Amino acid sequence: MKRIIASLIACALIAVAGCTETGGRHARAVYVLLDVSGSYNQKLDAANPVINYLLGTLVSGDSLTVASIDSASFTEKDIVGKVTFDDRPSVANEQKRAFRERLDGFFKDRKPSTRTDVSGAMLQAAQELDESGAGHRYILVFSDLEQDLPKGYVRDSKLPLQGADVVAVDVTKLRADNVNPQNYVDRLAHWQQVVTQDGGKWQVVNDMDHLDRIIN
Amino acid sequence: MSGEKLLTLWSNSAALSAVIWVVLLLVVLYIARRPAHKLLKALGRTVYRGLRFAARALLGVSERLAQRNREVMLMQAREHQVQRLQREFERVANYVNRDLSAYPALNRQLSSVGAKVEEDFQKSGEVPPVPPPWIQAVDTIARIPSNGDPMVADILQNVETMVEKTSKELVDSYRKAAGKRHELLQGMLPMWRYMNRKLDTLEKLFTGLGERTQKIDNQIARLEEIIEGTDQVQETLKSSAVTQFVVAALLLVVTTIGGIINFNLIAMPMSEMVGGASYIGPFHASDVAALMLVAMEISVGVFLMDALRFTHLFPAIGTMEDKTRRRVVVLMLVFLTVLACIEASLGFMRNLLAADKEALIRQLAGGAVQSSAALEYRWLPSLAQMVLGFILPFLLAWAAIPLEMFVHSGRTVAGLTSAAALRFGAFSLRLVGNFFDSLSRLLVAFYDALVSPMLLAERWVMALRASHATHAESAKTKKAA
Repeated sequence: MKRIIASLIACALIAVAGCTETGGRHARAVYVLLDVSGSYNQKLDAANPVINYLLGTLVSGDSLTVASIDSASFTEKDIVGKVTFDDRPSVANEQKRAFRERLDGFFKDRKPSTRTDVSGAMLQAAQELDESGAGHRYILVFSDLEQDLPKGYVRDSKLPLQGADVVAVDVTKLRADNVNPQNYVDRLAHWQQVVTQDGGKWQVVNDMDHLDRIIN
Repeated sequence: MSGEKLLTLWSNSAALSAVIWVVLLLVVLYIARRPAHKLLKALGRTVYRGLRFAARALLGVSERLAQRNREVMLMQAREHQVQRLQREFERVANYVNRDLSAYPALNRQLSSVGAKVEEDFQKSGEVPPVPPPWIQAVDTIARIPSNGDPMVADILQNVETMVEKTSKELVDSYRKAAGKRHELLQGMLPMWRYMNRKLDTLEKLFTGLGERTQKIDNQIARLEEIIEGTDQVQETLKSSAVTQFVVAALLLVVTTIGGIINFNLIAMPMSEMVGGASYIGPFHASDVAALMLVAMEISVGVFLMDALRFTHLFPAIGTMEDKTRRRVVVLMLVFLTVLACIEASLGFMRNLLAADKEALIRQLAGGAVQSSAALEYRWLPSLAQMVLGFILPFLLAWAAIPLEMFVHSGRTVAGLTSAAALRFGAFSLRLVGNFFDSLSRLLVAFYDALVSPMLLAERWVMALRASHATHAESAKTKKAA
């Protein structure tokens, strides 16, 4: 009888342990892309409140990556910082503080790039997020979305954006957009098409007062 | 065939065709009148009887349920009453063991004190020494006149002196004896008081015992009433069950709110222990762990209350030997204290985590450092949360009592409600049955109203036939005449 009870308890414990999972489909992974090209670099400080909001909102098990968009961005070298928050909230808070310090250094020493490789950065972000296996994936893009690739660079690859939310935050208008606003509309439409075609969800947020709408 | 074609089937004029259709329909209805009447009546009766049968069945079930409820209610009441009686007998036993066990010793004390008092009393009653009988004779001699003889006068003087001396000695002796008696009586006073006190105590003991006996008599009378199961007792039990149910439900709601507060107090810091990123199914592991902790506290409380015999949810605990039961009580109290300590520490940790998070948010927002006054009083919420965390498990432990009340009274209330619902169902079925019966009659009348032109025609034809027959009869009679 005792053996049977012990076996039942063991089975129950194994079942509970089997039900337990860390991160995975419940976790959120956020990839923030910061455009450091000449046309956007000056306005990049607008990203700080959003990143702070993310640091305050993300919890244990979630991950946050910040990378820059420069002339050739399909590379890990452009990643400014990457963190997966620890299981324990107190440790996660320490990680957030350290991450913020690292970002402060980046914002202080950033150098503008000559070209803008938005597609490369998006591909890099999409692949990273896809590998993370997180249940909720977000790419936040701080850019004017004006792609300006160096000569010879090809960016025709399909983006693995299935189930990901791509949010263009504070998409600034270029001087040419003022002359012909259709350029701005076309640019947004183009990126929307790229994202939705590859299985992602497209969103544009220009009002910083509604940051809570970005991440669920 | 479309409706339009049907309408113009008999004539190109829709009106004429419609009239033909109506006439045809009336003819068909007239021909089918008797079978249609039978069908409608049969349908009405069938539905009516079926529903009546179902209503009777429901009433039967309701009665059986009510009977079962009565039995359960009386059985529960009997059990409670027997428990109460047992408790009353236990109290009397304790009373007798504790207070009346000293009665033989008290009796001995009282007897010895009584004997002593009696002895002293007898001593105090001893006759004082009487003057010797010769003293009166000597006194008479001493009063004889001396007649001037100095020698006789001298002798008489000596005799008088001797009498006076003897009298004085006698008075002294009497006084001494009286003093001794007074001393004895004085010594008896505290003994009387002692006896008085003890007798008062005894009186109180016996009065208390008498009151308990009266209570037992009342309880037995109540038990007899319950066993008899009179209507009055049943009504009282019903109303008592409903009151208990409502009170228990209210208390359980309050306990549930307390449980939710407790849960919220420990859920956040629990993530520091079991990890904030772990999930069990769709739920945070920390939330499940916090819920488990609260559930464990309630469970331990239930076992504790059962072991203390405040509740009887688990008969196995209540029927344990007293020694084992006491061990269970101690064990459960230890568990509860440990859980309370864990909760207190979690409450403390909660405040630390909240402060850390607050500091992080401030830092991220580039806000100023918190004022020293705010930091100085930060220990207050910490302390409050710790105290709350420590007290709540003990309060939740009492949930066992309303829970038991709810379960026991809920059974009766559920039975009463079900029986009432079944009765209402039976009534509704009878009502619907009657409706269908009336509807069938109404439909028969409506049918007749529809074919009324044909019925009028029939009546007219019948009247015509009758008139022809009368004419023919009268013609025959005339011919014969």
